[in-house]
Amino acid sequence: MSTPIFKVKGVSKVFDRRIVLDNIDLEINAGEIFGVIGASGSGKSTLLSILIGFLKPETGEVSFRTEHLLEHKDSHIFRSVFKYNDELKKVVGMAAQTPSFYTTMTVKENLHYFGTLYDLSLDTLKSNITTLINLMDLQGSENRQARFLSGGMQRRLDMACALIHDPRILILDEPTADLDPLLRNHIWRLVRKINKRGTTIVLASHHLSELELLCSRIAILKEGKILAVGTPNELKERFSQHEEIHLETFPGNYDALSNIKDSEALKYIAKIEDKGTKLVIYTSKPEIVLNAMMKRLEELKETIVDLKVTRPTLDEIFINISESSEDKAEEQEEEQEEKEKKKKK
Amino acid sequence: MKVFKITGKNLKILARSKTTLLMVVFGPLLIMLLVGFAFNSTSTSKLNIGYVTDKSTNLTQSFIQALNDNPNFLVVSSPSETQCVNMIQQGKVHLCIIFPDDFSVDNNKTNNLVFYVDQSRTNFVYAIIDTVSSKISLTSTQLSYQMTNDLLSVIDSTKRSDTEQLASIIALKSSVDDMSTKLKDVQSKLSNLDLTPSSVQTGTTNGPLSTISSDISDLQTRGNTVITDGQSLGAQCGGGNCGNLTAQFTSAGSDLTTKFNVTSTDLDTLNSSLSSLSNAVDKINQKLINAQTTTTDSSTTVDDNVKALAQLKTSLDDLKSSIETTNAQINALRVTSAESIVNPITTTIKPISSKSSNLNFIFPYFLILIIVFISIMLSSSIIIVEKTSKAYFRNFTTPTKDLTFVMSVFLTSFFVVLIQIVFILALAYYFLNASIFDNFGLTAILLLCSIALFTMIGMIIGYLFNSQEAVMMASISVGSVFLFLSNLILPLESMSAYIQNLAKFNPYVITSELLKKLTVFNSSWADVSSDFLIIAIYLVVAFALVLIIQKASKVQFISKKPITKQLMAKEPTIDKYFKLKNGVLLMSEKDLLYELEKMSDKEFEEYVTKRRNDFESWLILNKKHDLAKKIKECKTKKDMINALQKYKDDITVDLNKKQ
Repeated sequence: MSTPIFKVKGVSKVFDRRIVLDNIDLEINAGEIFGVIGASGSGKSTLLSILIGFLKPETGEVSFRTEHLLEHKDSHIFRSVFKYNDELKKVVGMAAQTPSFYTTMTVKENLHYFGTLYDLSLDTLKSNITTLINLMDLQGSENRQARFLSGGMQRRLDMACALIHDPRILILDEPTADLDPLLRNHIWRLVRKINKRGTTIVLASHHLSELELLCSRIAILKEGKILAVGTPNELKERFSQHEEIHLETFPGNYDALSNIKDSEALKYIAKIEDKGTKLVIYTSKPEIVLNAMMKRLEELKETIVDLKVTRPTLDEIFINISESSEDKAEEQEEEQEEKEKKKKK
Repeated sequence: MKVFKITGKNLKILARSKTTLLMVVFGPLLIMLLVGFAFNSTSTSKLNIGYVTDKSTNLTQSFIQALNDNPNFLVVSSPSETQCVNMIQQGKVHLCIIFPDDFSVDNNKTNNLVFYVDQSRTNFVYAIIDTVSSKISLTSTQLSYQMTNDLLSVIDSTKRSDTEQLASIIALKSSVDDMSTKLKDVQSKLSNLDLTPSSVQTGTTNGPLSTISSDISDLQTRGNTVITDGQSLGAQCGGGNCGNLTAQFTSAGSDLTTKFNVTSTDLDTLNSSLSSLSNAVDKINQKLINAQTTTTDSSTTVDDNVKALAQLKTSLDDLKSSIETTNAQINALRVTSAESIVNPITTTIKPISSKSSNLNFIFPYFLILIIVFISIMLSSSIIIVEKTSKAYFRNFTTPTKDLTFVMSVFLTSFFVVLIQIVFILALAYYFLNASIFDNFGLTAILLLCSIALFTMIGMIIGYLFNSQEAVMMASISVGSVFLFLSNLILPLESMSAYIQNLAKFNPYVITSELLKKLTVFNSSWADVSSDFLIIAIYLVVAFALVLIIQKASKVQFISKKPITKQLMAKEPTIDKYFKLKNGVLLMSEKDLLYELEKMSDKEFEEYVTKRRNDFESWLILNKKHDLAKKIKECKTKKDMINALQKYKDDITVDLNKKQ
């Protein structure tokens, strides 16, 4: 059974008269890769900053388990991240959205410098630097100034700086932002490697489709509230009972294609989306719908370019959740208006 | 130690930033060298002087010649006043002298030389005026000296002449006195002369003479009688002594007879003499009478003369008195030297320091100025480079105290500036012969304190602002304020009293003046201890401010809450907020008013209906019952806005009344 390493209870945060985090409750378990997903401005970075004790919430408490600190042997003791911030910093490493290192210092100099801030001994520091350079594939660039590194190498250097003191917890805020898919894959591989060494990882991202492959558990944030927390499969099960048929055809007369006449198939179609370059059909019975689609394709003399049947991705689930939340809000507003009108009458 | 590691990192980054290095490190060194060479002289400024003279007189020429003789002046003639003024405006000359047409030294005449100067050269104009005026004054003084000398010579000669005359007058007066005395004497004698003729009655002598003659005859008779008797006696006596006796009586008798004869003759003679005498006496009487008349006349004349002499004496006395008065006045003149009259008060400007070069005087000000600008700009640059660097965030994720980072910035800047100052001092000593090692101990302490103080001021600026441009502008502005509120550009005494009082607190003024005292005047600890105390206080205050502002800056960086807002009153707790449907939180009635003005009527109706007033409920929750009552009956947005405005105005009025 996994033990929580972070406990977040009733945390709310306000910035400039706007609630950025609204009564967040969360637990992060030791050894897991915990993802926080949400749209831009949903409060992800704020939550991570509160976790490390940078920001103080208006309400609530954030605590961490002191098991990992040598002087505290009792595993059940949780201490406030704000009161014991220095101790927390010794066991937490953070890589923010923007890589954080000195651009006019070399890779080695950066690692050495940040290592000294953790009071590491010279031997430990040298050993860690060597290990990290190898881990982050920065061999050959040790003596190059950071500003001359490529984007991916800079990101890796940033992570290396966050890991220089061999932290028990690593917090990553949008670690793959502005990176191409190859580099993003590389970074995720690194994250897995680091996690395999026993480091708990908390990461925030809006690349939901990648997180679902990486994270043990994911929390979905929307407008400061946690909509759901669970494993990717749990979230999929919970928020989507449909599968998706992705159909790409030539010449691509998707308007006509959407107009399915098979009544049997229509019963099982939840939604059809014309994406412009393909059609996405949400259905609980993909096989029945597919049969109907084949007939339609034949009728319209369309050629299949690409066809796949998948479960919805987290992206889609997230969008659905967001849209449904908005729809719900609109519905509530309309209801309220109707009530008022009735009262007036 | 972490501090030194972070300092080392800062130095490394600084060394790798060529622009920063160039601007902040080498720039000041170059400036200092240039300043040193520029001011390392004792000579006065070279002045171009224009002059205008329509009718040149000898005096004009002598003045112009005197100006030309000065190697620091370049004298240029101008055809007219307007053109001369134009030359000043064009910068061709520094000053213009307008000589009057009839420029000469004459009786009851004042000569006015008009100077035109460019007042906008505020830091130079008085030097120009002073230099030329002193030259003009010198020439004028020489003329005055000459004329005064002449005057004094005349006075002196007059005095000598007077003295001689006085002697003569005294002698004359003495003579007059003598004369007067003698005349008085004569007058006295004359008046005492008894010229009363006396009548000599010779007839009166006849009687007595006859008597005498008769008597004599009687005598003769008696005598003869006696003799006869005697003879008789003698004869009676007989011989011896008696015989003698007879002889004697005989002799006597003959003598007597002789005598009687003589006497008779004499008496006759006497009688005739007496007659003659009487005649003479009569004549004399007559003469006496004449003399008496003459005497009377003479006495009158003498009297007149005596009076005249008295008057003369009085005049002589007056003259003497006048001459004496004049002499006394001349003698009473305290100043008899022409130089003393022309220049009754001379000034000798004695330097209070043995230093002679301009550089030695200006060096303390420039050295501290360099320290001001380098320290402020360097420390603020280090901080802003750090703040704007990518690594700034990561430093906060490490278990390193804020004080460590603050100290490392301080040490970095301090160390760099110190190296620069040592270098500047070495250059100044070897190449510019600046005397900097007098009072070395206190000077060193002062320089260290100055570097520390201005470094901390720069750190405050660095933590306050968030962009390099703002930091640079602020650093230059602060440095400029220090510079302008000091003696370096214009004397503080020429500024308003308010500015002068403000300038007393200017750390640049305090430190530069103190450095001057130490290096130029070689002041002791007793003389400067109070200044050091002020600097120590400044250091403590600056350090406290650095820590406070660094903390606020960190909060600003992390929470994006501006420093100004951090200083404002604490916001209410979140459970007292009112959350609008658009997600905005209302924390106070001020926020409510602000949002009401922005929201539509339709939105307003979502919170306020006939049956409920969410804003009223919220205010009651926040225990603002007064305001809640006021807005209770407001059913429209406009009414509520008015009610809130009125409430706000009432509060303002109450506050004003309380004040």
